[in-house]
Amino acid sequence: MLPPALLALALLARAAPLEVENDWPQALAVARAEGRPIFVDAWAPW
Amino acid sequence: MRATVLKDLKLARRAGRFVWLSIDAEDARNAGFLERFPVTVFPSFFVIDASSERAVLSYTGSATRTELLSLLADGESRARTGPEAILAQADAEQAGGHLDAALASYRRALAQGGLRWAKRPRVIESLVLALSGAERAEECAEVAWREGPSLPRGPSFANVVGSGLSCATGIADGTPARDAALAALVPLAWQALSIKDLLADDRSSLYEAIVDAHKARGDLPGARRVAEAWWRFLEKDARRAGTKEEHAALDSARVEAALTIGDPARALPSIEESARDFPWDYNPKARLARLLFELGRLGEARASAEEAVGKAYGPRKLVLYRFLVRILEAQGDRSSERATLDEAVTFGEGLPAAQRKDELLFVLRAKREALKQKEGAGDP
Repeated sequence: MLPPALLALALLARAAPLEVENDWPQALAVARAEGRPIFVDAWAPW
Repeated sequence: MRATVLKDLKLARRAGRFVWLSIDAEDARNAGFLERFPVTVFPSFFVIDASSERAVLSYTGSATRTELLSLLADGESRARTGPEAILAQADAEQAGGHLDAALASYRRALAQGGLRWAKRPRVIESLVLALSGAERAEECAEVAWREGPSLPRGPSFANVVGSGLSCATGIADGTPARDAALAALVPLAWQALSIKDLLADDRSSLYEAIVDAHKARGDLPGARRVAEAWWRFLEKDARRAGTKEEHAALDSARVEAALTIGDPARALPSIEESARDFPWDYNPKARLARLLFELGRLGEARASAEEAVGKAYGPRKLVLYRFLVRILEAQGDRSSERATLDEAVTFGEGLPAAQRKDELLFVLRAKREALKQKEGAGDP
């Protein structure tokens, strides 16, 4: 059995979203491969 | 929001079921995405079905962690009966840019969901934001002041009355509709400011909307009084900020509040701090240029503006060029003004279609033409 700290890390890793920056084609490819929807955060630096 | 809510949201279990795409709308690499999904308000959020490449949901403006989690849930599981199904349709229509259809669907969802529907506040918020995005100011304000009072006093209420008030100031001057909307919405905006757990962004936007409402009525002393209260909130927020990013997040509000009060110098220390903290970022330099210009320190304003232009990219760079031209005009430096206008127009014409700012380009070209004519007429 995993120690609590490692278990927490494993759970956190499983819960983490797959992150893509500024690359729509890559996000689309990853989402299709993983069968996940895409959440887009569109922002401006100002 | 990026400094606070979004960081935290990524840790939520539901967020882990999505591919998370961050899009800097100013970056030329994102022109293809922006052609498919135009973005005019920041931040904007989408949930996109990868198999059909269609947006099933979109949302604009700041949102709390709870609101975003609820949006993720809406985007992930689409109920197919009753008002929830109509809401899903409205969200998809809104995300696809079919505004009239989306507005009709939001109204149908509200009618079918009734007054006790748990989603009612979020649907009214989406309706008001959609009307605001569609530049239907009068309708936007009217929905806000008619529906706002019935909403629970939470983030949706704050967003509805804040956005509604911004719409109200955009209604044609001197019309009964504007007077009525401002009279109804300003007290509601003050009520929203008394909500405890409001995002700093939202609280600041409410102060700004109230300031703008006073300006719209021609009540400048009233605007200055509210701006002083706004400034006190910003000072408190600066003390509370845990990171440099959080501290800088409300810099633009600091500039606006200080300018409204008529005391640009009071924002200088804070913006100078951000310029030191983020030397690669054009924003602090651009804000410094604006404050220094208002203080009549034209040489320093020019140096800051030139530095900001040098660091900037994307369509925002055109706004910075325009301000630099204003400084050069005030300095009477015609040759630099002409060279900057040439550079700005060339840069603007080279932007990808989805990021081109035609109105701004038109203004810059017109300025260049006017300058040529002046010079041709021998005007020194």
